Amino acid sequence: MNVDQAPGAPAWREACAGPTFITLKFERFRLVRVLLIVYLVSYLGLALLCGFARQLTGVKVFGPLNLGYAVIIGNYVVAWILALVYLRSSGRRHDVLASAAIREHAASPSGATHLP
Amino acid sequence: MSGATLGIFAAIMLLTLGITAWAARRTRTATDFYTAGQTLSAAQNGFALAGDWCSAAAFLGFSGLTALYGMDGALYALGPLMAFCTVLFLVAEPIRNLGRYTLGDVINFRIRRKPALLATAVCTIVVNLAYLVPQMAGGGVLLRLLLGLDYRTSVAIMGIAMILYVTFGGQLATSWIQIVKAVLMLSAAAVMLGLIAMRLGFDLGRLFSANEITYGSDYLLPGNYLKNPFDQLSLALGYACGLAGLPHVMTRFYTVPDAPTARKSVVWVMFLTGSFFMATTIFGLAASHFLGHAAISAADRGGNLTVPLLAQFVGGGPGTIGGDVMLGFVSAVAVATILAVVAGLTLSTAGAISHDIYVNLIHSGQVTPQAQLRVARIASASIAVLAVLLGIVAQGVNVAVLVILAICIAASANFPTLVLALFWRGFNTGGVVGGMGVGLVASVGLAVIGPAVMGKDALWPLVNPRLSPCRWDFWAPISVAKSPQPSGHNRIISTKFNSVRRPATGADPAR
Repeated sequence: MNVDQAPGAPAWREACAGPTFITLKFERFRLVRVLLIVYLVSYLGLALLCGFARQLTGVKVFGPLNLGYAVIIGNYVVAWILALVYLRSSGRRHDVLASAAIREHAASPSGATHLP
Repeated sequence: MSGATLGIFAAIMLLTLGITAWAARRTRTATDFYTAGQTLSAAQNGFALAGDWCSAAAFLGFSGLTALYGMDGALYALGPLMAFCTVLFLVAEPIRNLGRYTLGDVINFRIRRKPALLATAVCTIVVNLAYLVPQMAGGGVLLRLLLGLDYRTSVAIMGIAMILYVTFGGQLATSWIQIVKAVLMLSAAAVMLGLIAMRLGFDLGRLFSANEITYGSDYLLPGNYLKNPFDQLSLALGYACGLAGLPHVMTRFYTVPDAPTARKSVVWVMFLTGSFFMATTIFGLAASHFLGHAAISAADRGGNLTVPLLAQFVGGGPGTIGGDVMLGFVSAVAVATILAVVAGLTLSTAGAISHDIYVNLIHSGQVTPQAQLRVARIASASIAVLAVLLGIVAQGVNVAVLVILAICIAASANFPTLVLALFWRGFNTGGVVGGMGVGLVASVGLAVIGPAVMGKDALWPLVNPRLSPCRWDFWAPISVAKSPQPSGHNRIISTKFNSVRRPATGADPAR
């Protein structure tokens, strides 16, 4: 059986096509993509630096602190900032959109029917 | 060991048993047992997560690595914080919205097929046991040092504590023991940091310059421990994917009422463990400066006693009251750490056996609430007994490889399956079974032929066997899912609405 021919298929297709739900999915995806890229570039960049540019990590950048330790400390700061950005955006925008999407679906004709 | 050590240890044990007695009276249903009734606040769950995730390996091991090998220890310590980014952005909220008690719930919600649930439950049990045995062995060694008991008695005492905590107190007792332990651990770290800073005249930069003068500039460079450049990358990837696949960490997200609280609790744990792990790097550098490598290696070749030794030193040195109190405090916190982590692991494994296998797989969910609670208790007591037996067998064996193995299986089997189940519409039973199977076999295989087991003659060069699996751990589940399936296995339509919508919004139209 094709998934689109199963009982209940029109109902879920309609529920997932709601404009607020689409906005939520799109905005969440956009935010998470940016955060993941910054996170992976920063963290895997450090791993590559330490693995393949060992001598470069020894360059002194700040008093007795060398580049390697400076980038490690930078990674702590990056992780904390990304976490706060995500917390703020989710609380201000995504939670609001999620509850709006639930209300929107409940008010629609198919929202009243029981979904299998 | 001194009276101070014994006294502090006894006080911590009494406190945890008191918590258990209090929690036991409040544990009446399976939801209470597995998730503390979903009543924890974001801060409480954040502290409990910190208690769960900062294992003794982290507390004792990272400082030792930094003290003896320099920057590689700092890289190990950075990983746990970075790993929570993956958890926060990708898995914490959808898991909270989809599951009730276990990782199997998430897979079972998405794909209601028994082979998929069985594969998930098996991976959960294997990962948890691989993580549990080293904790038992480490705890046995630590209790032997603290109380002067023999190894088997020490492991048995931990097993009895475990049965009491988990079987009677369930998740409520486990969570509060983890919270207490996290508070103790963080205050121990703060006190030590303060004492170290005072000795240095509040100039932490001196740690770098003094160590450079004593041990040469190579000491401040990476690669002294992880000699293969690819090992650094492998370690980072292992952290980035492994934590998000650890079942006992996931279980913690079910103890909060909703997804926003789950999200906030991750941010709490990122600040708590991040600052703690940053402190372990400072402890390592301070120990190297104050105590010297020879003294650290003499106490334990792997450097695992660095933190207790440093605590004794900054407290005033051996034989002084301050030194004894600090040593006793830090050692007792290390034991509390092991008890808290083992309790979380026991509970998570009991969930896979009783909830996933007994209730959902064998009885298709048709089990009375009373029976569910009874089975969960029997399962946790059995796991504790099994853990004691395995802990005794593991005496003298290099168990560190098991931690690596646990994280590796979590990263190669659990994480890809979880992410695909959450975000890919085309995922199905074959994909789960194929992905879990290939991830499990590949991780175990690479660990067995790697340096951790075979030593210098290893067929596979990397200590953390993560880099190569990362190529096939997503490839395997996707290609199996795309291949022709036995009839019936594509019928995921009934959950399709939910599988797209509920992870994102938490809405449950069926309720």
